[in-house]
Amino acid sequence: VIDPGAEEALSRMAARPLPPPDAALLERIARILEANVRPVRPLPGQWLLGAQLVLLCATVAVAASAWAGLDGWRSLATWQRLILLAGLVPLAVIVARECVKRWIPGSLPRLGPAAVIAGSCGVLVLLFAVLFRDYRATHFIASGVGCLEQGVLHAIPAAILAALVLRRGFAVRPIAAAVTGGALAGLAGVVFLELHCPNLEAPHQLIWHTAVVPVSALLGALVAASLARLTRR
Amino acid sequence: LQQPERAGDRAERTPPARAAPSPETLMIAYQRGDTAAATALIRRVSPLLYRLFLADAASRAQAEDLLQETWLRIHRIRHTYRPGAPVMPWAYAIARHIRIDHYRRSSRISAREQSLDYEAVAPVAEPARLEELDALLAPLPAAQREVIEMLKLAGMSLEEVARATSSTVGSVKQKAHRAYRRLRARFKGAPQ
Repeated sequence: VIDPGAEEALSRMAARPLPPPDAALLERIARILEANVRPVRPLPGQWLLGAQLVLLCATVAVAASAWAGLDGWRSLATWQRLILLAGLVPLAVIVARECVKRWIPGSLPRLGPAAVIAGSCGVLVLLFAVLFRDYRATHFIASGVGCLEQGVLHAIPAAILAALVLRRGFAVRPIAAAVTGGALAGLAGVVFLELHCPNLEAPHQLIWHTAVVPVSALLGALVAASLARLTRR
Repeated sequence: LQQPERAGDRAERTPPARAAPSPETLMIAYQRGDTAAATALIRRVSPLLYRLFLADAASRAQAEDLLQETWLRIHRIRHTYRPGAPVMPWAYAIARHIRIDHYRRSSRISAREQSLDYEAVAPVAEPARLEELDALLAPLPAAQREVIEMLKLAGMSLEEVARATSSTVGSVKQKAHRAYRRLRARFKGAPQ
Protein backbone atom coordinates (compact mmCIF):
# COMPACT_ATOMS: atom_id res chain seq x y z
CA VAL A 1 0.00 0.00 0.00
CA ILE A 2 1.38 3.36 -0.98
CA ASP A 3 1.83 6.05 1.65
CA PRO A 4 -1.31 8.22 1.95
CA GLY A 5 0.79 11.37 1.60
CA ALA A 6 2.39 10.20 -1.64
CA GLU A 7 -0.94 8.90 -2.91
CA GLU A 8 -2.58 12.25 -2.24
CA ALA A 9 0.22 14.20 -3.92
CA LEU A 10 0.09 11.96 -7.00
CA SER A 11 -3.71 12.18 -7.21
CA ARG A 12 -3.52 15.95 -6.87
CA MET A 13 -1.02 16.13 -9.72
CA ALA A 14 -3.01 13.75 -11.89
CA ALA A 15 -6.13 15.87 -11.40
CA ARG A 16 -4.38 19.08 -12.43
CA PRO A 17 -4.68 19.50 -16.18
CA LEU A 18 -1.56 19.88 -18.28
CA PRO A 19 -1.64 22.26 -21.22
CA PRO A 20 -2.75 20.61 -24.47
CA PRO A 21 -0.33 20.49 -27.39
CA ASP A 22 -0.26 23.50 -29.64
CA ALA A 23 -3.20 23.38 -32.09
CA ALA A 24 -0.95 24.66 -34.90
CA LEU A 25 1.41 21.75 -34.26
CA LEU A 26 -1.43 19.23 -34.52
CA GLU A 27 -2.56 20.87 -37.75
CA ARG A 28 0.95 20.63 -39.11
CA ILE A 29 1.26 16.95 -38.17
CA ALA A 30 -2.15 16.23 -39.71
CA ARG A 31 -1.14 17.98 -42.95
CA ILE A 32 2.12 16.01 -43.17
CA LEU A 33 0.34 12.71 -42.60
CA GLU A 34 -2.64 13.46 -44.83
CA ALA A 35 -0.33 13.90 -47.79
CA ASN A 36 0.79 10.28 -47.44
CA VAL A 37 -2.25 8.40 -46.15
CA ARG A 38 -2.62 5.22 -48.18
CA PRO A 39 -4.25 1.92 -47.26
CA VAL A 40 -1.87 -0.49 -45.55
CA ARG A 41 -2.16 -4.19 -44.89
CA PRO A 42 -2.05 -4.91 -41.15
CA LEU A 43 0.36 -7.52 -39.87
CA PRO A 44 -1.00 -11.06 -39.88
CA GLY A 45 -2.08 -12.61 -36.59
CA GLN A 46 0.50 -13.54 -33.98
CA TRP A 47 -0.30 -17.26 -34.34
CA LEU A 48 0.37 -17.15 -38.10
CA LEU A 49 3.71 -15.38 -37.69
CA GLY A 50 4.61 -17.74 -34.87
CA ALA A 51 3.74 -20.80 -36.99
CA GLN A 52 5.87 -19.41 -39.83
CA LEU A 53 8.82 -19.01 -37.47
CA VAL A 54 8.48 -22.55 -36.08
CA LEU A 55 8.22 -24.03 -39.59
CA LEU A 56 11.17 -21.99 -40.75
CA CYS A 57 13.40 -23.10 -37.87
CA ALA A 58 12.35 -26.72 -38.37
CA THR A 59 13.07 -26.48 -42.10
CA VAL A 60 16.53 -25.00 -41.54
CA ALA A 61 17.40 -27.69 -38.96
CA VAL A 62 16.04 -30.61 -40.98
CA ALA A 63 17.53 -29.42 -44.28
CA ALA A 64 20.96 -28.82 -42.74
CA SER A 65 21.01 -32.14 -40.91
CA ALA A 66 19.77 -34.01 -44.00
CA TRP A 67 22.71 -32.53 -45.86
CA ALA A 68 25.22 -33.16 -43.04
CA GLY A 69 23.85 -36.60 -42.11
CA LEU A 70 21.09 -37.76 -39.76
CA ASP A 71 23.48 -39.76 -37.55
CA GLY A 72 22.03 -38.45 -34.30
CA TRP A 73 18.43 -39.23 -35.24
CA ARG A 74 19.41 -42.75 -36.35
CA SER A 75 21.15 -43.50 -33.07
CA LEU A 76 18.09 -42.54 -31.01
CA ALA A 77 15.51 -45.13 -29.92
CA THR A 78 11.88 -44.55 -30.88
CA TRP A 79 10.89 -43.51 -27.33
CA GLN A 80 13.77 -41.03 -27.29
CA ARG A 81 12.65 -39.55 -30.60
CA LEU A 82 9.09 -39.17 -29.34
CA ILE A 83 10.13 -37.53 -26.07
CA LEU A 84 12.52 -35.23 -27.94
CA LEU A 85 9.78 -34.09 -30.30
CA ALA A 86 7.26 -33.75 -27.47
CA GLY A 87 9.68 -31.46 -25.63
CA LEU A 88 11.18 -29.42 -28.46
CA VAL A 89 8.03 -28.62 -30.46
CA PRO A 90 6.06 -26.93 -27.60
CA LEU A 91 9.22 -25.11 -26.49
CA ALA A 92 9.76 -23.76 -30.02
CA VAL A 93 6.09 -22.71 -30.22
CA ILE A 94 6.31 -20.79 -26.92
CA VAL A 95 9.59 -19.08 -27.81
CA ALA A 96 8.32 -18.23 -31.33
CA ARG A 97 5.19 -16.68 -29.83
CA GLU A 98 7.25 -14.55 -27.45
CA CYS A 99 9.52 -13.58 -30.35
CA VAL A 100 6.55 -12.39 -32.43
CA LYS A 101 5.22 -10.35 -29.51
CA ARG A 102 8.54 -8.53 -29.28
CA TRP A 103 8.07 -7.34 -32.88
CA ILE A 104 4.55 -5.96 -32.48
CA PRO A 105 4.30 -2.74 -30.43
CA GLY A 106 1.72 -2.87 -27.66
CA SER A 107 1.80 -6.67 -27.38
CA LEU A 108 1.75 -8.26 -23.96
CA PRO A 109 4.78 -10.49 -23.49
CA ARG A 110 4.34 -13.31 -20.98
CA LEU A 111 8.08 -13.89 -20.51
CA GLY A 112 10.99 -11.50 -20.27
CA PRO A 113 14.11 -12.16 -22.37
CA ALA A 114 15.98 -13.64 -19.37
CA ALA A 115 13.04 -15.93 -18.61
CA VAL A 116 12.98 -17.11 -22.24
CA ILE A 117 16.66 -18.10 -22.06
CA ALA A 118 16.42 -19.63 -18.58
CA GLY A 119 13.20 -21.46 -19.43
CA SER A 120 14.59 -22.83 -22.70
CA CYS A 121 17.79 -24.02 -21.02
CA GLY A 122 15.78 -25.53 -18.16
CA VAL A 123 13.51 -27.48 -20.53
CA LEU A 124 16.50 -28.69 -22.58
CA VAL A 125 18.44 -29.79 -19.47
CA LEU A 126 15.37 -31.66 -18.18
CA LEU A 127 14.81 -33.26 -21.57
CA PHE A 128 18.43 -34.36 -21.99
CA ALA A 129 18.62 -35.60 -18.39
CA VAL A 130 15.60 -37.83 -19.07
CA LEU A 131 16.81 -39.02 -22.49
CA PHE A 132 20.50 -39.69 -21.97
CA ARG A 133 21.91 -41.80 -19.14
CA ASP A 134 25.46 -42.38 -20.34
CA TYR A 135 27.52 -40.20 -18.02
CA ARG A 136 30.90 -40.75 -19.66
CA ALA A 137 32.60 -37.64 -21.01
CA THR A 138 34.81 -38.77 -23.86
CA HIS A 139 36.63 -35.90 -25.62
CA PHE A 140 34.36 -33.59 -23.66
CA ILE A 141 35.92 -30.27 -24.66
CA ALA A 142 37.03 -31.11 -28.21
CA SER A 143 33.75 -32.63 -29.38
CA GLY A 144 31.71 -30.17 -27.32
CA VAL A 145 33.25 -27.03 -28.80
CA GLY A 146 32.72 -28.47 -32.29
CA CYS A 147 29.03 -29.10 -31.56
CA LEU A 148 28.55 -25.64 -30.03
CA GLU A 149 30.15 -24.09 -33.10
CA GLN A 150 27.99 -26.16 -35.48
CA GLY A 151 24.83 -25.33 -33.52
CA VAL A 152 25.50 -21.60 -33.50
CA LEU A 153 26.51 -21.62 -37.20
CA HIS A 154 23.19 -23.25 -38.08
CA ALA A 155 21.33 -20.79 -35.86
CA ILE A 156 22.57 -17.90 -38.03
CA PRO A 157 20.57 -18.74 -41.20
CA ALA A 158 17.52 -19.43 -39.01
CA ALA A 159 17.92 -15.99 -37.41
CA ILE A 160 18.31 -14.28 -40.80
CA LEU A 161 15.20 -16.00 -42.19
CA ALA A 162 13.25 -15.18 -39.00
CA ALA A 163 14.23 -11.52 -39.42
CA LEU A 164 12.84 -11.69 -42.98
CA VAL A 165 9.53 -13.10 -41.72
CA LEU A 166 9.31 -10.33 -39.11
CA ARG A 167 10.64 -7.55 -41.36
CA ARG A 168 7.30 -5.65 -41.31
CA GLY A 169 7.24 -5.64 -37.52
CA PHE A 170 8.78 -3.04 -35.25
CA ALA A 171 10.69 -3.84 -32.08
CA VAL A 172 10.24 -1.14 -29.46
CA ARG A 173 12.88 -2.91 -27.33
CA PRO A 174 15.35 -4.09 -29.98
CA ILE A 175 17.74 -5.88 -27.63
CA ALA A 176 14.95 -7.85 -25.91
CA ALA A 177 13.59 -8.73 -29.36
CA ALA A 178 17.03 -9.83 -30.56
CA VAL A 179 17.63 -11.96 -27.45
CA THR A 180 14.30 -13.75 -27.93
CA GLY A 181 14.94 -14.16 -31.66
CA GLY A 182 18.45 -15.43 -30.92
CA ALA A 183 17.04 -17.99 -28.48
CA LEU A 184 14.59 -19.22 -31.14
CA ALA A 185 17.36 -19.47 -33.72
CA GLY A 186 19.44 -21.27 -31.10
CA LEU A 187 16.65 -23.83 -30.76
CA ALA A 188 16.93 -24.44 -34.51
CA GLY A 189 20.64 -25.08 -33.87
CA VAL A 190 19.79 -27.52 -31.05
CA VAL A 191 17.35 -29.40 -33.31
CA PHE A 192 20.08 -29.62 -35.95
CA LEU A 193 22.49 -31.08 -33.38
CA GLU A 194 19.94 -33.61 -32.12
CA LEU A 195 19.40 -34.80 -35.66
CA HIS A 196 23.06 -34.76 -36.64
CA CYS A 197 25.26 -35.39 -33.57
CA PRO A 198 25.69 -39.11 -32.74
CA ASN A 199 27.29 -38.37 -29.34
CA LEU A 200 24.64 -39.47 -26.83
CA GLU A 201 26.70 -38.88 -23.69
CA ALA A 202 24.69 -36.94 -21.12
CA PRO A 203 27.38 -34.37 -20.15
CA HIS A 204 27.94 -33.55 -23.83
CA GLN A 205 24.24 -33.06 -24.48
CA LEU A 206 23.54 -31.24 -21.20
CA ILE A 207 26.37 -28.73 -21.51
CA TRP A 208 27.27 -28.21 -25.15
CA HIS A 209 23.95 -28.72 -26.92
CA THR A 210 22.08 -26.64 -24.33
CA ALA A 211 24.71 -23.88 -24.55
CA VAL A 212 23.70 -23.16 -28.16
CA VAL A 213 20.58 -21.31 -26.95
CA PRO A 214 22.22 -18.77 -24.58
CA VAL A 215 25.18 -18.26 -26.94
CA SER A 216 22.82 -17.52 -29.87
CA ALA A 217 20.75 -15.19 -27.68
CA LEU A 218 23.90 -13.37 -26.60
CA LEU A 219 25.02 -13.01 -30.22
CA GLY A 220 21.56 -11.64 -31.08
CA ALA A 221 21.88 -9.06 -28.30
CA LEU A 222 25.35 -8.03 -29.50
CA VAL A 223 24.14 -7.61 -33.09
CA ALA A 224 21.11 -5.56 -31.98
CA ALA A 225 23.23 -3.34 -29.72
CA SER A 226 25.74 -2.74 -32.53
CA LEU A 227 22.99 -1.91 -35.02
CA ALA A 228 21.32 0.45 -32.54
CA ARG A 229 24.62 2.24 -31.97
CA LEU A 230 25.21 2.55 -35.71
CA THR A 231 21.73 3.94 -36.45
CA ARG A 232 21.99 6.47 -33.60
CA ARG A 233 25.15 7.99 -35.08
CA LEU B 1 -36.76 24.39 -14.50
CA GLN B 2 -37.27 20.85 -15.68
CA GLN B 3 -35.84 21.54 -19.11
CA PRO B 4 -32.21 20.67 -18.27
CA GLU B 5 -33.33 17.31 -16.87
CA ARG B 6 -35.19 16.49 -20.06
CA ALA B 7 -32.16 17.51 -22.06
CA GLY B 8 -30.06 15.21 -19.90
CA ASP B 9 -32.53 12.40 -20.45
CA ARG B 10 -32.36 12.95 -24.18
CA ALA B 11 -28.58 12.86 -24.02
CA GLU B 12 -28.72 9.54 -22.18
CA ARG B 13 -31.03 8.12 -24.81
CA THR B 14 -28.73 9.17 -27.63
CA PRO B 15 -27.89 6.01 -29.57
CA PRO B 16 -24.27 4.91 -29.18
CA ALA B 17 -23.77 5.10 -32.96
CA ARG B 18 -23.68 8.88 -32.66
CA ALA B 19 -20.96 8.82 -30.01
CA ALA B 20 -17.46 9.81 -31.06
CA PRO B 21 -15.68 6.85 -32.65
CA SER B 22 -13.18 5.07 -30.44
CA PRO B 23 -9.44 5.37 -31.14
CA GLU B 24 -9.55 1.72 -32.26
CA THR B 25 -12.21 2.50 -34.91
CA LEU B 26 -10.24 5.55 -36.05
CA MET B 27 -7.04 3.53 -36.25
CA ILE B 28 -8.64 0.86 -38.44
CA ALA B 29 -10.01 3.57 -40.73
CA TYR B 30 -6.57 5.20 -40.79
CA GLN B 31 -5.04 1.88 -41.87
CA ARG B 32 -7.61 1.76 -44.67
CA GLY B 33 -6.47 5.16 -45.90
CA ASP B 34 -9.15 7.40 -44.36
CA THR B 35 -7.62 10.88 -44.08
CA ALA B 36 -10.35 12.25 -41.81
CA ALA B 37 -9.83 9.36 -39.41
CA ALA B 38 -6.10 10.11 -39.31
CA THR B 39 -6.78 13.73 -38.39
CA ALA B 40 -9.34 12.72 -35.75
CA LEU B 41 -6.93 10.19 -34.30
CA ILE B 42 -4.17 12.82 -34.08
CA ARG B 43 -6.52 15.15 -32.18
CA ARG B 44 -7.67 12.35 -29.87
CA VAL B 45 -4.36 10.70 -29.02
CA SER B 46 -1.90 13.63 -29.11
CA PRO B 47 -2.86 15.19 -25.73
CA LEU B 48 -2.19 11.85 -24.00
CA LEU B 49 1.17 11.36 -25.71
CA TYR B 50 2.07 15.00 -25.09
CA ARG B 51 1.38 14.52 -21.41
CA LEU B 52 3.80 11.61 -21.37
CA PHE B 53 6.52 13.68 -23.05
CA LEU B 54 5.88 16.79 -20.97
CA ALA B 55 6.46 14.89 -17.73
CA ASP B 56 10.10 14.28 -18.69
CA ALA B 57 10.99 16.84 -21.36
CA ALA B 58 13.33 19.73 -20.62
CA SER B 59 11.08 22.16 -22.46
CA ARG B 60 7.71 22.39 -24.14
CA ALA B 61 9.43 22.69 -27.51
CA GLN B 62 11.22 19.41 -26.89
CA ALA B 63 7.95 17.70 -25.95
CA GLU B 64 6.41 19.00 -29.19
CA ASP B 65 9.37 17.75 -31.22
CA LEU B 66 8.98 14.32 -29.65
CA LEU B 67 5.25 14.35 -30.36
CA GLN B 68 5.83 15.17 -34.02
CA GLU B 69 8.54 12.52 -34.31
CA THR B 70 6.21 9.98 -32.72
CA TRP B 71 3.45 10.69 -35.23
CA LEU B 72 5.86 10.32 -38.13
CA ARG B 73 6.92 6.95 -36.74
CA ILE B 74 3.33 5.91 -36.07
CA HIS B 75 2.51 6.77 -39.66
CA ARG B 76 5.41 4.71 -40.97
CA ILE B 77 4.57 1.62 -38.94
CA ARG B 78 0.79 1.95 -38.76
CA HIS B 79 0.48 -1.51 -40.27
CA THR B 80 1.86 -2.97 -37.00
CA TYR B 81 -1.40 -2.10 -35.24
CA ARG B 82 -3.58 -5.20 -35.22
CA PRO B 83 -7.35 -4.59 -35.37
CA GLY B 84 -8.95 -5.57 -32.09
CA ALA B 85 -5.99 -4.59 -29.94
CA PRO B 86 -6.13 -1.41 -27.80
CA VAL B 87 -4.63 1.62 -29.56
CA MET B 88 -3.24 3.50 -26.58
CA PRO B 89 -0.68 0.92 -25.36
CA TRP B 90 0.44 0.55 -28.99
CA ALA B 91 0.89 4.31 -29.37
CA TYR B 92 2.52 4.64 -25.93
CA ALA B 93 4.97 1.85 -26.80
CA ILE B 94 6.07 3.73 -29.92
CA ALA B 95 6.20 7.07 -28.05
CA ARG B 96 8.29 5.49 -25.31
CA HIS B 97 10.70 4.11 -27.90
CA ILE B 98 11.03 7.57 -29.48
CA ARG B 99 11.61 9.16 -26.08
CA ILE B 100 14.31 6.67 -25.07
CA ASP B 101 15.97 6.96 -28.47
CA HIS B 102 15.92 10.75 -28.21
CA TYR B 103 17.48 10.79 -24.73
CA ARG B 104 20.19 8.33 -25.74
CA ARG B 105 21.01 10.40 -28.80
CA SER B 106 20.97 13.70 -26.93
CA SER B 107 23.04 12.37 -24.03
CA ARG B 108 25.57 11.12 -26.58
CA ILE B 109 25.68 14.54 -28.23
CA SER B 110 25.86 16.44 -24.94
CA ALA B 111 28.72 14.23 -23.80
CA ARG B 112 30.68 15.29 -26.87
CA GLU B 113 29.77 18.95 -26.94
CA GLN B 114 30.50 21.73 -24.50
CA SER B 115 27.49 23.54 -23.08
CA LEU B 116 26.50 26.61 -25.06
CA ASP B 117 25.34 29.41 -22.83
CA TYR B 118 23.55 31.30 -25.56
CA GLU B 119 21.31 28.36 -26.37
CA ALA B 120 18.34 29.41 -24.31
CA VAL B 121 15.76 26.75 -23.55
CA ALA B 122 12.10 27.71 -23.63
CA PRO B 123 10.48 27.35 -20.22
CA VAL B 124 8.16 24.43 -19.59
CA ALA B 125 4.48 25.34 -19.64
CA GLU B 126 3.69 24.59 -16.04
CA PRO B 127 6.92 24.68 -14.09
CA ALA B 128 5.21 24.43 -10.71
CA ARG B 129 3.51 21.15 -11.51
CA LEU B 130 6.52 19.62 -13.13
CA GLU B 131 8.84 20.76 -10.34
CA GLU B 132 6.48 19.24 -7.82
CA LEU B 133 6.39 16.03 -9.84
CA ASP B 134 10.17 16.02 -10.13
CA ALA B 135 10.56 16.57 -6.40
CA LEU B 136 8.14 13.78 -5.56
CA LEU B 137 9.52 11.22 -8.00
CA ALA B 138 13.17 12.27 -7.70
CA PRO B 139 14.28 9.28 -5.61
CA LEU B 140 12.93 6.82 -8.15
CA PRO B 141 15.05 5.28 -10.92
CA ALA B 142 13.83 6.06 -14.46
CA ALA B 143 12.07 2.72 -14.98
CA GLN B 144 10.12 2.98 -11.71
CA ARG B 145 9.29 6.61 -12.32
CA GLU B 146 7.91 5.75 -15.74
CA VAL B 147 5.67 3.04 -14.29
CA ILE B 148 4.33 5.38 -11.58
CA GLU B 149 3.67 8.12 -14.16
CA MET B 150 1.70 5.72 -16.33
CA LEU B 151 -0.20 4.10 -13.48
CA LYS B 152 -0.96 7.11 -11.33
CA LEU B 153 -0.81 10.11 -13.64
CA ALA B 154 -1.98 8.66 -16.97
CA GLY B 155 -4.42 6.32 -15.18
CA MET B 156 -3.37 3.22 -17.12
CA SER B 157 -3.97 -0.32 -15.89
CA LEU B 158 -1.14 -2.76 -15.10
CA GLU B 159 -1.76 -4.62 -18.34
CA GLU B 160 -1.75 -1.40 -20.38
CA VAL B 161 1.54 -0.33 -18.78
CA ALA B 162 2.99 -3.78 -19.53
CA ARG B 163 1.91 -3.49 -23.16
CA ALA B 164 3.25 0.08 -23.43
CA THR B 165 6.61 -0.79 -21.89
CA SER B 166 6.81 -4.13 -23.70
CA SER B 167 7.38 -5.94 -20.43
CA THR B 168 5.47 -8.51 -18.42
CA VAL B 169 2.72 -7.64 -15.95
CA GLY B 170 4.86 -9.19 -13.21
CA SER B 171 7.74 -6.88 -14.04
CA VAL B 172 5.44 -3.82 -13.93
CA LYS B 173 4.04 -4.92 -10.56
CA GLN B 174 7.54 -5.37 -9.22
CA LYS B 175 8.65 -1.92 -10.39
CA ALA B 176 5.51 -0.31 -8.97
CA HIS B 177 5.98 -2.10 -5.65
CA ARG B 178 9.59 -0.95 -5.38
CA ALA B 179 8.61 2.60 -6.33
CA TYR B 180 5.86 2.65 -3.68
CA ARG B 181 8.33 1.38 -1.08
CA ARG B 182 10.76 4.16 -1.93
CA LEU B 183 8.04 6.80 -1.93
CA ARG B 184 6.72 5.55 1.40
CA ALA B 185 10.21 5.68 2.87
CA ARG B 186 10.66 9.18 1.53
CA PHE B 187 7.36 10.42 2.92
CA LYS B 188 8.13 8.90 6.32
CA GLY B 189 11.57 10.49 6.27
CA ALA B 190 13.34 7.15 6.50
CA PRO B 191 16.81 6.86 4.99
CA GLN B 192 16.89 5.55 1.40
